Formats: sequence, C-alpha cells, structure tokens
Amino acid sequence: MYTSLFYKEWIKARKLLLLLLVVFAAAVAYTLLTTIKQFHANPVAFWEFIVENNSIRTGYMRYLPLGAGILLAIVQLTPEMHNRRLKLTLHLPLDESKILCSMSGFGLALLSGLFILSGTALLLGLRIYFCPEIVYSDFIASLPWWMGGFTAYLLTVWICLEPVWKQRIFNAIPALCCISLFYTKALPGAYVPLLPWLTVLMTAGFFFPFYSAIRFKHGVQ
Amino acid sequence: MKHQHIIRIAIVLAGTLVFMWVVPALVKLGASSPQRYPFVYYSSVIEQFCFRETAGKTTVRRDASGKEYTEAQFDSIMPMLYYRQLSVNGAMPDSIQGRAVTMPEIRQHSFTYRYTPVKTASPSQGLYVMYESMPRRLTIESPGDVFRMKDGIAFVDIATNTVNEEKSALFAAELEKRGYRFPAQWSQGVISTKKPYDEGYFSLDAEGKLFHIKMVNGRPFIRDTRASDTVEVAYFDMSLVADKRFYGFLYDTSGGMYMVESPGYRLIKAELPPIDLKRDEVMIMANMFFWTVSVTTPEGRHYYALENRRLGKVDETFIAATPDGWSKSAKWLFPVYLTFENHNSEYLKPALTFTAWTAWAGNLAAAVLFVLFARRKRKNLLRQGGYILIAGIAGLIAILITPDEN
Amino acid sequence: MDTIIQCENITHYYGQKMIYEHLNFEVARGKILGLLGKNGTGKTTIINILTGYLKPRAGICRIFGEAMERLSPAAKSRIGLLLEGHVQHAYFNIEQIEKFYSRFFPQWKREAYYELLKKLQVTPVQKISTMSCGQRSQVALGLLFAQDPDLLILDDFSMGLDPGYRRLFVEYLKEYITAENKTVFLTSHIIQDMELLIDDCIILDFGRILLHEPTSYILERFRRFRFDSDAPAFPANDILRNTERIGTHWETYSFASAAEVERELVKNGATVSRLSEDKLSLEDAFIGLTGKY
Repeated sequence: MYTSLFYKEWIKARKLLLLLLVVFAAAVAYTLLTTIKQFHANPVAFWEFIVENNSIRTGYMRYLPLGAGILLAIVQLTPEMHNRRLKLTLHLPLDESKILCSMSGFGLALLSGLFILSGTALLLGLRIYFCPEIVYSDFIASLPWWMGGFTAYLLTVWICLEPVWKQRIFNAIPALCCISLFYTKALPGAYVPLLPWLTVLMTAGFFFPFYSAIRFKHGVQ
Repeated sequence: MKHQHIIRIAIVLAGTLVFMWVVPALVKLGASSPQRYPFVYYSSVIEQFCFRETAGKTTVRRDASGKEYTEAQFDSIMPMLYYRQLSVNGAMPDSIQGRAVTMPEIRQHSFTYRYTPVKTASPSQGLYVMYESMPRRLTIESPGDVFRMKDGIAFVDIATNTVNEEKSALFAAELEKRGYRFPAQWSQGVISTKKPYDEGYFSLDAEGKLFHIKMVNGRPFIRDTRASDTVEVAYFDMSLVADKRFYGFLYDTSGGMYMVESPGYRLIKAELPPIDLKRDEVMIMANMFFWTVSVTTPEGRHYYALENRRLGKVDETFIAATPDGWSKSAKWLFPVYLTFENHNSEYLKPALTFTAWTAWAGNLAAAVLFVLFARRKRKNLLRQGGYILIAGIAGLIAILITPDEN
Repeated sequence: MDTIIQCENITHYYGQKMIYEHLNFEVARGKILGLLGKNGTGKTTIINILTGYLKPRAGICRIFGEAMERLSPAAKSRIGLLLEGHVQHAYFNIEQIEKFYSRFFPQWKREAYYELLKKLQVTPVQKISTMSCGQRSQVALGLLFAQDPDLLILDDFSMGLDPGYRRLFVEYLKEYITAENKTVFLTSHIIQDMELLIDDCIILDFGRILLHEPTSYILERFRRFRFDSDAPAFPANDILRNTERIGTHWETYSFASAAEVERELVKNGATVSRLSEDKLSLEDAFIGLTGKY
C-alpha cells in the first residue's frame, strides 16, 4: 500500500524532479567550473583569499534547496487540494496519519536524495582542489540552506493543506519568518550554535501539516 | 488523526517565538538610533580631554573645563593629531612636553588600535599562512602553502593540495622542543601580504602557555613568551605598529590588558578597569606622550588617558549612553525578546533578553484586549488570555493567527 | 435487519445559518437510498458528514457501526466513495489509476474496471485530466466496481453528464447493485435518474427531513389533486401539501385518498368541485412535496 502511495506522489513529482536534477546539476557544475577557473588563474592568491576572508564557493546553491522544497510541496499538494481530492486520498483504507506521513516522507526522501547527491558531488569536487578545512567551511556554510529546503517543504505542505485561504496567509507569515532564519548572511561556521535549534524547528515542522489536515477533515471553511 | 491539541500548542509556541523575535526587531528597526559619542582626544598641550561634537551643522570644540575653541585653536592644542595641518600652516611647535619633536617621530610613535568583541566571537577555518618574517626584499610574499594548527601543525601545499611533510615535521619538532603542547587553543596573527612587516603568530597551547611562532629565514622561530607565568591568558591581539615597540595586546581572564613588548615579551599592564571581552569595545589612539583609550560599555563610554611609557592612568572621564526610542519603548512593550544576531558576535545564537518588569503592563493590555474582543469567537478564553499575559504581544499574534481547534 | 448507516441527532450550522437540527435516519443493508432536496438543503453536507469530512456541530453518524470521524481502514475499504463531479486523481492515466488503487484492496476486481472502460474512446495512457466529464464518470464508476465495496456513497452522480452517459451510469449501477446486494446512499439533482434506481427516498427540506419513505410508497400513494373552488385559501397540513391556485383551478398534493382530501378541503366550508387525481413521477412528487420555490 505504501508503494502505491509513493507511486502516486512519484507520478505527481517526477517531472519536477527531472527539472530539479537538471538545475542542481547545472549549479554544481557551474560552481565547480568557476572555482576551477579561479584556482588555475592563481592558486596561491585564491587560497590565501579564502583563508584571509573565510569566503565560500557554494553561494550559487544558496536558494536552490529553498526553491526545490517549496516547488515540490506545491506539486505534491496542489492536485490534492484541487477539487478537494484529498478526500479520496484520506479515504484510502490506511490510517490517515500514515497516509500523510508517507506523502511528506516521500517528499523529504526525494529532497534528501537530491540534496545529498548534489551536495556530495560539489564537496567532493572541491576537495580535489582544497584541503578539508576549506571544504568543511563550504559544507557548514551551506548546511542551513539545505535544512532550510526541508523546512520550507514542510511549511509549504502545512500551508497548502490548510483548507481556508485566509488562514493560509496567516500560516505563511510565521513560515516566512522561520525560513528567513536559515538564510541569514553569516560567516561559514557562524550557524553552528544555531543548528540544533534549526533542527528542532525543522522537526516541529513535520507535525504542522497534521493540524491543517485535521481542519480539512473537520470541513472547516 | 490524533494529537490535535499538542500540535496546536506546538504551532502557537513556534509562532510566539517567531513573533518574539520579529516584532521587536521591526520596532527596533524603526525606533533605534545609533549611540553617538563626541570625538575625544587627550591633549598633550593642555593635558586635558578635548571634545569635538557635531550636532546638525554646528561643531562644538571644547576642553574638559568647558572652554570652547575655534577650529584653528583646536588644532593647536592637539598637535599630535593635527601635526600635518599645523605644519602646512607653519604653526607646528618645535617642542612639546619639553621635548623636541619632528613629524617623522610623531608618525613613528602614533598608532591606533581597536578591539571589538566580534574579534573573539568569530568562526575560524583554522588555517593560517606562515610568511617569511625576514624577507630578502621589503615586500611580504606568499609562501605557496597554508598551515593548520590544532592537533598538530601541518603545512598544506597549495599547488598539489597535499601536506608538505618535511616542513610540517620541521615546525613540529621545533614546537615540541620549545615545549608547545597540542592541541592548540587558538592562534592569532595577521593573514595578509599587505601588512608592513610580519611577526607570525601568537598561539595558546593546551596548557595555557602563549607561544610566539614565526618563520625566519625559512626556519621555525618559536618562543614561549612566559606570559602564563604571571597571567592567565584569555586573548592576544596582534598589532603591527610602526615603531615595533610591541607585538600586540594581551588580555587576561580577569579583564586586564597588557602591552606585550618587543623584543622580550615583557608585559606592561595598562592601568584600566577590567575589560569584558564579550561586551566592551576598546579603542586606543596613541601618540608618543599619551594614549587616549576609550572603553565602550552598554552603559556608556569611558575615556582614559595613559602616559605612554608605563601606561599609568593620568586622567579619565565618562559619557553615559542615552536611551534611544527602542529602549524606551521596549521596556513597556516587550518584557522579553528574542534575537539571533548580536553585534558582539559573528555567531548566530538564540538569546532571550529581559528588558524591564514594566513591560508586563504591555502584556496585561494585550491579554485584556484579547479577552474583550475575542470573547464571542474564541474558546478557552481565560487559558488563552493567561498565555498572552505571559507571552505578551508575540503570544497574542500567535494565538490570533492560529485557529481554534474544532 | 442490519443497519449500515445510522445518523443520530445531526445538527449543523454554517456560521449562524442553520442547516439541520436533530436529523435522524438509518439505512438498512441492501437498500438503495436516494437523498433528494433542493439546492442548499445540505445534500452534500450530509455526504461530507457521513464520510467524515465535516464535523457537525452535534450528533453522530455511524457506518458499519463505526463513528464517521474515525472510520477504521477496514471500514473504509468497504465504502466506495464517488465525489461530486466524479473527481478523481486526474494526473493519472487509466492504467496508472487502476494500478494505484488495486494495491489497497485485496478483493480488487481488475476486470470489472477494464470491462467498463472498454467502451470508452480513450487510450490506456490517456490522462484522466484530458477526458470529458462523461468519460471521467465511467473511470470513477469502474474504480468503484473494481473496489467492490459493500456500501456506495455517491455524491450527485449525474452532475455534468449528458443524457447518454447519465443513462449508462444508471444502468451499470443498477445492474451492479441489484446483483451484488449492495447498499447505496446517493444524491442527484436529476430525480428522473433516481426513480429507476432507489428503494428508499429521503427528501430534505431546509433544516429537516421532510420525508423518509420507500420510493414505491411515494409513487403509489402520493397524488396530485386538481379541483375548482372559490375559496380564497386552504390551510396547509399533513394531508394537504402545497395547495395553490393555478389559473382558474386549484392544485394540491397528498398521500391521502381522494375522499379524505375532499373531506379535508370542505372542512372549512369551502365549496369544491371537479376533483380529479393524477399519479406522479418521482420528480413531480418531489415538487409536490417541496414546492416549486
């Protein structure tokens, strides 16, 4: 039954996934190519610039996870909310919480795959030219962006599942504030003390959609 | 689907935290104004603090006794600051404080130094560049490698992205010989080829000993400064001054500030009250006679005049901070607010700040308004009102935008 | 007699507007019950409450003895649901949607689905969203047949269908449910369709159930009476329903016999002449019960 639920999500999301794969691959390639070009122009000056300024190379990826999270949630949930098809989904002979969990679980798994794949490719590529400290810097600087992608996904699901339009806007206000927390301009490593809190926020976000779903079930209009 | 109640509580709590951060931040954006202090400098001619304050288009220049000066008069009582202007006007005195002075001499012995708490609250990659401290030519050149210094020292060759084992072993052996114990706590130096000269790094080892590490003629130069014999080192801030009189400033764990003399690493304690590295900003404008040291705290700015030789205090003054619109409104609106950014740190960290008890008045108003206006539309009115009493405006907004359970 | 659907004291409001108060009804196993009512009497609302997608202000519905809000997966698998407008997951094509649903139901009858779809002029890989309303209705119906539920809940199955598809839908449905002893709860705004189908009939008026009787009883007993009279008005009561003057003569509707109706009419001293009685279709009966407005 779960495979069938995943199959449904797959049908909805597969075109977007292809698009995201292309965009992420392009961003990874572009980042690596510009970095390699700068490196070869003057390796010493480039390294010293990085060490002196604590600068990062993954900046092009910054808002991609955010966009991916929001788009995926929209692609998965809009067809469910259109004509209230979610009624059909929740009517399936399976526990409603499990149905919802597997829907957002599918999205999170898809995003994880995309993020891990592109993140690993990027960091491994950088590792060829830079020592672990510099690569770690790139990793730790971009970690909140990836986490922001997951959180944006969950909060968008929360907003999309909400049956009342006015309430969707009310949900969007704190959601936007939360998301902005993941994209504050900061030095690499500056986020380290905040990461546990962002993880809590991300985890809490997993449960928010259930409130919207309960309201949907109660027929709130 | 179960647990509707718990999820609603989680949403309200998360919303409250968000608005505890966002609403005060918006008010702060509109109502806060930067703290303005006059320019203060200790005159080596009249031996008093002198103040220049600009309000609108008028600039007032005065000394500590309140006597006002014209611009030209002001220049003349502060030759250590305005020597170039005075010299152009032909008004530069030949001697000050009974001592003949020349412009190169003034320039040689003047420096400015600044400490901000951000310096000790910034993430570091843990990579450094070891320049040649005795270059054959005047300019400082890049060595083509960087080094890490944590559990050991290792030089990474840039071109090959591999560890230069030979050089690393050379430095490691010398560090070992000089008694350096890994893991290193921190290392501090100036990473730039644009600096006037190189003094390498000062590094605190695992045992709290401060070492001077540099490269001279391609060989490691490592010395225990023995600073830890007399003080418990908290931080060292390298300062490359023209007369090479010192390496920089050392702060101990009880807030004492020391000049680390060059050569010899003798510590000269500045006669200042304890400095809180997490909170206070230090600014030194020094000349060959006096140092004007300002220490900015949340309460206001302290000014100290220190004599140049032994750093003994000769004068001090204080200008209190004036509360701005933000701090005035915050103490009525927000008993507690949440921030993530802090101008004293590069790190992002949640911090709850308590303002004043008076702000519970704002909470009470929010709770009463809620109970009055929402009594027909809301369930559990008293419980929600009670929550607003505790969580204030942020709690009110969070409750208003979170629908009741059915 | 097994009770499949049981609604007790359902009260619901939209804001200040009352939809029903203390609604009670039951549907027995094997019955095909049609819910009739004018627009705005809350037919879809009842379906939403029944299927657990609307929490009424008060009262409870049970299906297979389980409260509607917390139907177990086992109960859900025995309920086939047709949403208003034959809504389905339109991003699937014909094959995909069959594949999707088949995993949820152990008794899935794949051939029933494809049997029905054979006649449609669609390719197996055509997306449902590109189909006509009639074609989509067949897909939705096919899925219901394949699921083979014990209870079918159909919300306005005739909506958007042209007469051909409507007839097709009704014929298939009729054959299916009579053969398999299914229980059906349905609404439609086209009463002609229901006449062929339903055993029992609930007629909803604003805020209450006007009538809950077997269709045969209504068709047999409920009559229209035409007569002439010079009386200015007649009282409305259980015997005389929707009495009104049409041009020069009068009309009234009643479950009572002609003699009873006449007795009732003259009770207040009015003179009544040329009383005639007509048998009614379900649609006419519905109008007779609820009025034209």
